[in-house]
Amino acid sequence: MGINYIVKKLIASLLTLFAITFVNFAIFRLAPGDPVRMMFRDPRISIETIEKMRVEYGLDKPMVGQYFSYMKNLCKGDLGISFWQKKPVEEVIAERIPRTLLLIGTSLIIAVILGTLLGAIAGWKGGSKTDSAIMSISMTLYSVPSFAFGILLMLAFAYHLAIFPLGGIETPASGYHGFRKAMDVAHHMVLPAFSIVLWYIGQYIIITRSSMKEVLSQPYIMTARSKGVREKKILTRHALRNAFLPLITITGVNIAFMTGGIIEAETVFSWPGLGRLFYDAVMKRDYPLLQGCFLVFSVAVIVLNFVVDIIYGKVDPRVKIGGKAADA
Amino acid sequence: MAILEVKDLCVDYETKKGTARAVNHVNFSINKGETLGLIGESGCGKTTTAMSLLGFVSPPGRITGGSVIFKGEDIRNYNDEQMRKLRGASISIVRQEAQNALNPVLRVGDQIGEVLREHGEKNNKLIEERIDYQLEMVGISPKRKKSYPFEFSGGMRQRVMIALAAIAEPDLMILDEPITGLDVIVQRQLINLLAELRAKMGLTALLISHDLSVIAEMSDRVAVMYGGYIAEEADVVSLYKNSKHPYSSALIESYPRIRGEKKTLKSIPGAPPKLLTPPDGCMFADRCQKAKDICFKQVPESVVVDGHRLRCHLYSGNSKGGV
Repeated sequence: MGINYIVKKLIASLLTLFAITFVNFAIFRLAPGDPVRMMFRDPRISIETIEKMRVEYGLDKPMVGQYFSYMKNLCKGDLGISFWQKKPVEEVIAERIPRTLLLIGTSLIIAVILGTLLGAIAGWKGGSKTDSAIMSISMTLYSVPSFAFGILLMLAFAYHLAIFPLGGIETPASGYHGFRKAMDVAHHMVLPAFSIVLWYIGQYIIITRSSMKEVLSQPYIMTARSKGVREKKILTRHALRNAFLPLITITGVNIAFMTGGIIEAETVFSWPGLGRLFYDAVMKRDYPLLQGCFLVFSVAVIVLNFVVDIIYGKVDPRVKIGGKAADA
Repeated sequence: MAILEVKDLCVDYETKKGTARAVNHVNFSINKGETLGLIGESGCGKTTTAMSLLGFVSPPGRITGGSVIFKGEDIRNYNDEQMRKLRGASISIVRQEAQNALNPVLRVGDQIGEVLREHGEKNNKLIEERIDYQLEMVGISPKRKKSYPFEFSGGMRQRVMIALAAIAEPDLMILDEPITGLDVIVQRQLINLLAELRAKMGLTALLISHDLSVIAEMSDRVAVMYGGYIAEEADVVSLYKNSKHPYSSALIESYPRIRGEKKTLKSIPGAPPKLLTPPDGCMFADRCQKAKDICFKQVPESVVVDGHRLRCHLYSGNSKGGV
């Protein structure tokens, strides 16, 4: 994998980003309803005032002009003012990003590590009781809707057993600092993170298992065995690395679908992150904020896909300069 | 001295419809420096025989009888770890799927060197030297050891497989259709390479093929397999010139000759026997033009006629002896 490959992927990512700004801009302009009317839902407002507002917000200009001024502001990091919070959108979002990253990062790492591990075991011991046990559990997890876990977990552990808080990110007005504060946040994070892990882990197990089984039936595993390679090494050196390849691709694709899960988990547990913000923005018809959230989610998906491409290039030598994969 | 002695080997496959005997009381031995050719049509049990030598018969297949004496020890009594130590170091194999026989994400050199590493060699410098030597021997520049398998052609990959199988200087190399699926020019090169190895290393090999010419060129002795048992075994020249078993003769007749008059090739009528419902008598009786009554009723015992060991009722009266 050369620098060329990275540059190519980077350019592709930037082009995608550009296309997204356009779609992001268009979606809200094409939606029915007049933003000015939405802002002032007072029938007594005069036509003149509305017209004045239009000029002030630049809504009287043609679409193309509006797009250029949107892009100009975007480049300056100006995403507009939130109707609901009356603060710059970028400030509102910036405050939420670390919280969402914390929650989703933790859950994703746990889900991927545990999921691939269990999936690999199931695939390695294909047909055994361990395999069927792991598979039944993951099939169940995979088919339950994501928000259901959150609600069930909350009911059991927060309401009945009361060992975890019902929601939020920290105990209000606790005045905790440093380590105590970290522990408090971790305590609040257990249930939402667990619900996301449960939701994701099923598909990781299923995918890793089938990938593992596929790899194990390949002739090169037989070659390794006939070379006298130890079983443990066949698993770690020959099978796992090849089994990971499709997994990396799927993770890249899945990231886009994860946004839905974040919104659900954060809403159920009132986790004050981006997902919850997104939900609130929709409920409050806060267009600038919604547009900002859209943009942030899109950028996140593009960035993570870029990272996935780079990782793939590192793991699979067949991905060469120019991103051309040869048959093995 | 016999490096390998296979005695009365039986391999059964348990299926829902019943038990199929893929390898049926097979006997053969291979002496040091000798190449035994194992020939027969698809499904006659050649590869299953080879796989049982490496302990690679796995359910639903099972070795149900006989012994595999390798250097004086019955490896059927070996545990998993003993078998592992045997594989690659003492008995190695070159198989036909060169396309995917190498791990796509590991460097070619590392895959060759892994044989030595897994069998306890820790000196990296020595391992690298051995990899270079092996690659050179199979006609690949040692510089290419850093390449990945997808950067090699099919013929080169098969050369790598040969280098890999030979690196630990095994006592026995199993060549399971080593040149099948490659074009004729590459086949020629590989045959030359294997002939060279035989001369240089004093290779002891079991060569499996359905190609009569490959077997003729590379073997000292030939065993013809049919329906799970060895129909005839003899010296290579004697077998081709003077085959005794009707199946061997039919097999040779069905193969084109480069020299001599052109004639229509004879095919063998019928199909190979169904192993789930084997005939009462000789496996080949249904397709045999010389079949007598007894051929349909009684399984022929092994007899030795003019140095040919065969299972055929046509010769039952001529000789005593056998297995």
